[in-house]
Amino acid sequence: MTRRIAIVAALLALFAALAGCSGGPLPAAGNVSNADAQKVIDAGAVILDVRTPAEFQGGFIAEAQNIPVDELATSLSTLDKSKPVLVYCATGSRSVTAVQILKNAGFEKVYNLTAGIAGWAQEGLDVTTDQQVAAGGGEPTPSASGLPVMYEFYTDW
Amino acid sequence: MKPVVDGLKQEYEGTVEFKLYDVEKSAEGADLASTFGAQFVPTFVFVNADGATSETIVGAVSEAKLRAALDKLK
Repeated sequence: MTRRIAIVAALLALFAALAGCSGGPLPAAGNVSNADAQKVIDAGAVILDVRTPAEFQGGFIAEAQNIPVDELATSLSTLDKSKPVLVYCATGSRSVTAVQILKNAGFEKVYNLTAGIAGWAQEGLDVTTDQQVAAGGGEPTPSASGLPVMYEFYTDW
Repeated sequence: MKPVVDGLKQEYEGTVEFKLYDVEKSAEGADLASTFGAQFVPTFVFVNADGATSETIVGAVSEAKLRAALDKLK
């Protein structure tokens, strides 16, 4: 009897360890914080940026796919319904519309990054830039000083 | 970020030119931000002496990361 209890306890410990390794269950579909969005990304979600291509070029979450919200309804065939989809825009407004379009099309695991990429960047989370495309708008000329330059664009909130 | 950037500016004086723009107050800064495709603040753009962009960093960044980007400039 004692031996049976020990085996059951060992199995329970094994299951607990395995659950810990997988990072736990996905958050419930719907609005998610940055932290929960990261969990969804780690779980292999498709990341969908529904801003305009110009906004996308300025910086995006790594591996995000850019389908502007206006084009989403006609581009659904490019997305995998079996995978969770994390949707974001700049501030979490257009993504609400995009989430509704996806749900209407039968996507079940759809997540809306409520803070948008602005809130994501504000928290210091990684935003990548497609430099080749962004630079296409006009490569700056060398500085008059002949030195390399560090530009910082900021504002006082 | 200001104390970190100010410290680095002094340290790299004569080696790297620092151009800091408040995009809400500087029309030139807003135009340049647009040229670089900067959508968020803060954004740091590192440009080599020949005018080629070396690296762009968006959002809060550590001093070590800034220093690494500065040291890569040619």
